[in-house]
Order: sequence, then C-alpha cells, then structure tokens
Amino acid sequence: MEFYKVACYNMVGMAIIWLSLLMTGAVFFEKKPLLRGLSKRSFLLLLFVFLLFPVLGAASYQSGLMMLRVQEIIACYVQILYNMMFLRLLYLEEWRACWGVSVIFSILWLAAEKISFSFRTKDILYLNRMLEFLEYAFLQLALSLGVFLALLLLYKKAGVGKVFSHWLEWKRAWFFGILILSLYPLLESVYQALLSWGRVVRIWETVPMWLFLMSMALLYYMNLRQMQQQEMEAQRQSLCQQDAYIRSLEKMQEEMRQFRHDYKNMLAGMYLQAKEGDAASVLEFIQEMTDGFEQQIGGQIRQLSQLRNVHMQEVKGLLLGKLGEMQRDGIQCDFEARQPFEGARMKPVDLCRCLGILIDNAMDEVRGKEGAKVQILISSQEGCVTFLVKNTLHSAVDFHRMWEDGYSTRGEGRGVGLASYRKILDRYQNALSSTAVQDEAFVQELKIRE
Amino acid sequence: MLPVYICEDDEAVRAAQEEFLRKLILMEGYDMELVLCTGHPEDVLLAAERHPKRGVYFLDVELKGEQMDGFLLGKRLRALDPRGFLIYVTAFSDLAFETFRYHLEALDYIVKGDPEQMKQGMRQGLATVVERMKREKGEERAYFSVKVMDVVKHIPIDEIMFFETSGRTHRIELHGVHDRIDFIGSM
Repeated sequence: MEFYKVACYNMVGMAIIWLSLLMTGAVFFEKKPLLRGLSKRSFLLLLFVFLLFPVLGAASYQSGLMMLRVQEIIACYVQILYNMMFLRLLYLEEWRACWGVSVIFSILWLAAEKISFSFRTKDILYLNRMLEFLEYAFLQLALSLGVFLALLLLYKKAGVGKVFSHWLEWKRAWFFGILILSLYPLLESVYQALLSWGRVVRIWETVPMWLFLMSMALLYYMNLRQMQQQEMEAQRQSLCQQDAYIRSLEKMQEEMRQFRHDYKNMLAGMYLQAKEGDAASVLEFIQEMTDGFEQQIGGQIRQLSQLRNVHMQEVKGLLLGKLGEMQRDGIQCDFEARQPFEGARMKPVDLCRCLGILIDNAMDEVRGKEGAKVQILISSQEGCVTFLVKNTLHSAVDFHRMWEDGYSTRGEGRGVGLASYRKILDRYQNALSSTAVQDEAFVQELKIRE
Repeated sequence: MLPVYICEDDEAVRAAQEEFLRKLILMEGYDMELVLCTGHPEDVLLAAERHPKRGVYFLDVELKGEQMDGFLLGKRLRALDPRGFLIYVTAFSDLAFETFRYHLEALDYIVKGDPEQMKQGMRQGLATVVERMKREKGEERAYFSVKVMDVVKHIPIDEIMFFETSGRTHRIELHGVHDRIDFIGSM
C-alpha cells in the first residue's frame, strides 16, 4: 500500500478513536468537554498531534518497523500519552485522572479490537487485496467501534464515573490499580509474543483480555464496596449532624421557656409601674426586655432560620459543624442565606472541601483574638451562587505569598489550604474566586455559575 | 441637589420619616431635597427613571402586599442609578445585611422599632452620604471596572499591579495591592 493511503487510513482511525475517547471522558468524568471554550493554542496542539501521529504510523508501517513487538509497545504508550493530553485539554481534570482514563480507554479499545478481530474469516489478512483490506478496515474501525460503544455503555450503566472519582480519592488502591493497568499493554504484548512463538491456536489470543476484564470487574466491585461503606459513614455523620441540629433546637426551646418565665415576672413588675404612671421606667423595662430577648435567643433563631435556606445536605452539614465549632471556640459568627440554596454545579466533595478551606482559614485567623468576627454568606442570584467568607484581620498577611504551597501565617505545615483550593478550582471552568483585603477585613469569595 | 426618596408601606412610620428628614435637611443645611414619599416601589422606580440623577433612597425591606420587596427594588434601582445611596429600613434587627451590602452596595440599615433609634439611624445615614460625597470630590481616581458573573467590581487603577492569564481558558487573574480577582476575558 502507498504511504499516503496508509496515512489517510490512520487519520480516519484516529478520528474514530478520539471521538470514542471524547465519549469515554464524558462517561468517566461525568461532565461535558469544553469544546467551544478550547483556546487556540490547545486546538493547534491537538491538530498537530492529529496530523503527526497517523503520518508517523504510516512511516513505521512502510519501513517495516511495524512488525517489531518493541515498536508496538512504544506506539501503544505514546498513544496513551497523547490521549492523556487530549483529555487534559478538553476536560481540565488532574493529570493522573487523565492518565487513568487514557490507560483504561486504550485497554478497552484493545479489547474491542480483539473481540472484533475474532470474527475475521482468515487468520492472516493481506491488505494488498481489496476485499481483505475492506474486511480489515471494517473489523478495525466499524465493528471495533460498535463493540467499544457497547462496552462503554455497559460502564456507563454501571455508574463508572462515581466509582472512578472514588477510586481517585482512595490513594493506595489508586496507586496499585493504575500501576497494574498501566502495565497491561506491555504484558499483553509479551503474551502475544509467546503465543506466536508457540504457534498457539487462535482461541488463546483473547485469554489475557478476559483475565483483564475480570480483574477490572473485581477492582470495580472492591471500589463499589468501599464506596458503600463510605456512604454509610456519611449517612451516620449526617444523622449526627441532624442530631446536633435537633439538640440546638431543643436548647433554644428551653431558653424560650426560660424567657417566657422571666418576661411574665417582668410584665408583672411593669404593670405596677404603669399603674403608678412611671412612663420612664416602663420604657426602660421594654428596652431591657427586647435586648434580653435579642441576646438570649434572637441570634440563634436567626442562624437557624438562615440555615433552613440551605437545601444541599452536604453543605448544610458542613455549616452546622463549622458554626458549632465557632460557637464552642467563642468566635462570633454570622451566617446569611437569604434565598434558598439548592446546589451548585460542582461535585459536592469539591464544594465542601473548598468551603471548608475558606472557613477554616477565617477561623484560624481570628481564633482567640479580641473583637474577632467571621461572616459567611451564601447567595444565589442571576444564575450563579456566591459564597463569601469574611473575617476580621488581626495580623498582617503577605497578600501575594499566601497562595504559595506551604505559606502560612500560622507556622509550619499549615498553608496547604489555599494552594489546594486553587487546584480544585482549576478543574472547574464555571467557578471564579477572588480575595481582597477590605476595611480591615479579609474577604474570600467563590462564585459558581449554574 | 441630591434627591431623597422614601419607600415605606407603614403610613405612620412613613409620615414620621418624612417629617424628620425635612427638618434634618433644613437644620443641617444639606444640599438635598425630599422628592418622594410613597408606599409603592413602582413609584420610586418611575421617579428615578424620569429624573436620572444620583439619589438617596430610604427603602423598607419588607414592603407587605407589594409586587417586590426592598431587595428587588434595590436591584432595579441600581440599574437606574448605579451610584445612588441605598439605606434600608427594617423591623427586624437581624436583617441579613451582608447580602444587601454585597449585591446592592447598600450603605447601611436602620431598625425602625424604636422611633428615636430610627431617627438616629437616619441622621447617621445622611451624615455618611455627605461624608462619602466629600471624600469622592477630593480624590480623582480612575477605576478599572470588571463584571464578575452577577456583580461589577471597581478597582482603583493605581492599585493594580498586573494581569495574568491562567492555565484555564479565557481566564484572567487580576493582581492588585489588596485584591486578587479571577474573571473571564481575553488579553
């Protein structure tokens, strides 16, 4: 076959592969790729890769390198590498996550090809013969794509996205799992080499693939179990939080009862003074009573009624915890949510982590300081949600170094917060953050578009 | 002359506010004029639209039985009068005022339960307005304005150190002396 024909064929193959990769990314990351938001530079880079590798492939085919096992292995890993870059540019996920999906994609595609080629009519297809070439093209492109899509659909139905993101969180399992997966193409190649030396029958070709699919299923199952356990743990925590919520309601009710008792007495006193015509004392009484009410329960009623507007359970739990912590530490805190807050377009884990970092920073800054105050605000307006965390400033912060990994005003080993906050936000195209020092206060703001 | 508006649904409170403001403006010799006292937010919007001028607005937060509450009225007013002064009046001392300040750049809020306290609040409010205007006159600063989703931020140009494009597409980071702001744009 001529060079340009092979190159063209490769390009068609590449287009099909990237299309399937795009879908795989959507299934695993559970989000849409940013096709329109792609910058010119990224686009050119992808185009370059798209043109270069099919041509390189064609060249290696022509030169006869294609017959070498080593070349095959290298080609496979190169493919995984540029697929990883493809995913990174289109999905903005972490590099390791992109690597993982890219590896799994390659293996799945390999498996799809294997399955599709097991339907071939002859053991060896000669590409110079038109009919056999057509069969080859059909098997490699169309049928493989069909098999691949079927596999992907299966994954999607099994809810692989959740399991994958959970796997990413579970550090040890991630490391070993991805190591084994990454080695798979190599092992497969070695096995095939052994097969071809031993001239084993065709049926054995697919053995590693089945082994692999089984181990994938096992990994999946283990992840699922771990996830269920964590879910149970989360439920237990949410129960605890609700418990705390109910207890604070009960405490408030107790205080109300107390207050009712007090004000009855106060009213009796006031009644006497009013009878005597002592207007000034009556006014003073009223003032005292309203102030007393404000001090005793007004603040609590307010916080709880604002909290009622937070409908997203994860965030509500986080806030309950943090507000309780601040109350315990004697930090004055104000929480506002004027409108109902239903949720934001960010994974709950990430959102809670971001908010946790912002609130922890504020708390650490003011803890034990005189006249300290923390304000938290959640506000949904015009299709975006704003989270604002504001605290009084008591020490000078180096505004520009604060984002560096490990920088902290609180001593060694504390400053990972803001850096990892930035890292999480880098994955979200629809989130914007800002920080400001304003009127002796430190203001951190996170906005998420719906 | 700065027009002053009152929007308050309780007639008695409104009358008290009107009387007090007239006296106060006269006594202090402020360059202001009370132009409208009403219980309907639509009237305020209409008047502000007809006379597009920076004004002072005393707005009831609750506004019972009306189409919009004080917050929404404030939003509409901001569209008509971006530099006006919004002062909120509420029956509850526990108003979620940070939200008002954040979205509407509201100046202050007054609790109307105690008449004396309310008057004190109004006096304080006008004093702040006068002080702000004086301060603005003194400084001639150029601002860089940027829309970040639903709010517009103004940063003094002399406080901006540099802009930086970030790894994410169409994303620019502004680094100022006191600010660091992400926004969508291109350079």
